[in-house]
Order: sequence, then structure tokens, then C-alpha cells
Amino acid sequence: MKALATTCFLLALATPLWAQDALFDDMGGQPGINKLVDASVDNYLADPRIKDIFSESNIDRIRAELKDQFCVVAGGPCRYTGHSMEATHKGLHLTNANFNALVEDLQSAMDSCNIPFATQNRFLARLAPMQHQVVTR
Amino acid sequence: MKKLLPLFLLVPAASFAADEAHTVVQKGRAFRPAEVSINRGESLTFTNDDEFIHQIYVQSPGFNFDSDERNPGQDITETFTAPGTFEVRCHIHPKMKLVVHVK
Repeated sequence: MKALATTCFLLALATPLWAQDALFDDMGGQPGINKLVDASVDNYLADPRIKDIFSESNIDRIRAELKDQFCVVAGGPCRYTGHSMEATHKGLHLTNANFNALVEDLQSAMDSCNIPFATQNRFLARLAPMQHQVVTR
Repeated sequence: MKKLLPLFLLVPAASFAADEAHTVVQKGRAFRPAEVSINRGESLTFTNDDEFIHQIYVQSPGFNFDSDERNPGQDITETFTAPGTFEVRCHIHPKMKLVVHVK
């Protein structure tokens, strides 16, 4: 009994504070998420519907912050230290059409990164609540 | 004596100029004005009157700073301790540029 308690205690110590969930692994871990973010941002910058939104922004910074944010959203072992969605998007006056274009480009990127459809849907479901924080008009 | 009087009048005016508060506004993802001249040791106060988060930095051989990010409505003051011409930039919005001439 004492050995079992000791084992449990040691296992508890070995468990990270964050609970890494399956979605993060299903998306290929951090390398998979990095690849997805790069492909997504490339799509955004090539999309005539939304590319102008990024014309004044530091693209390297956006890539870095999205990698942290996507990692957190997928349940990975990251910390997102950027600002809130409201604060980041406030002055951009984004519409639903802009948001839908961003999602379409993200889906194309997930396709090109060979992320399975069911995994894509799980990830999109976690991003969906951000719509009302991003769209302001 | 009459000729000295205007000189005395100029002294307070010069002191006022040295203490003058210089303000640059961040608005529309631009610095306004885009160019200022100040004396060494004077400060610039940057007022974020924009809808975006901003920060400021200078990267030059003789003088550097790199501020925290400031939300709309917040100010930040930086003292320019070295003479020269410096470009103030924003990490978040790379097209923002302010030229500061420090005499």
C-alpha cells in the first residue's frame, strides 16, 4: 500500500501542470502548428479579400504570436503572452466577410498541411468563440 | 541700458523652451508630427491616441530604447540623452517612423 502511494505521488510529480490534450498531438505538435501558421499567414497575405488588413503589420511578429496562440488553443504546452483578441483587432474594424475569409484560408492551410478533416473541425470549434471578439462591424 | 533690456527678456523665454513638453501623437498608425527637433536631455511624450496598441524603440549605435506596449489612451515618455538624428519606430507597425533631431 505504501509502495502504491509512493508510485502515485511520483506520477503526480511527473505530470505537467498543463494538461496537454489530444488535439495538440493530432495537429502534429508544435512543428505541425508552426507549419500550419506559416501556411495560413501565407494564404492571408495572398488573399485579395484580406491582404490589406496586414499591410501595416509586423508579419514576423504575427506569425510568432499565432504559433503560441494556436498551440494554446490546441491544448499544447505553451503560453500566449499577446494581447486579447479585442485589443488586437479593435482598430481593424473587421467584418463577418473578413472573418469568413480568414477561416477559409485557415481551412486551406489545414488541407495543405494534411490535417484530417475531423481534426480541423475540432480546432475550428475552439476558434469559433473568437468571432465576436474579432468582428466589430 | 536700453539695449540690454531685450536680452533680459529673452532669458526667461529661453528657459521655457528648454523645459517645454514635447508631445508626439500616435494616431492612424503614424506619428504626428513625423519629425521633431529637441535639445539633448529633453524628453518626448508619446500619446497613444490610436485604436491600436503601440510601442516605441530606437536602435542606433549611440542611443537605444525599447518600450513596453501601450494601450490606446496611454502615454510614454522617453528622454533623449545623446545628440544626433534618430528614427523612432514601432515593433508592431513597422511603417511607423518618427525622425528626432537632438541638438
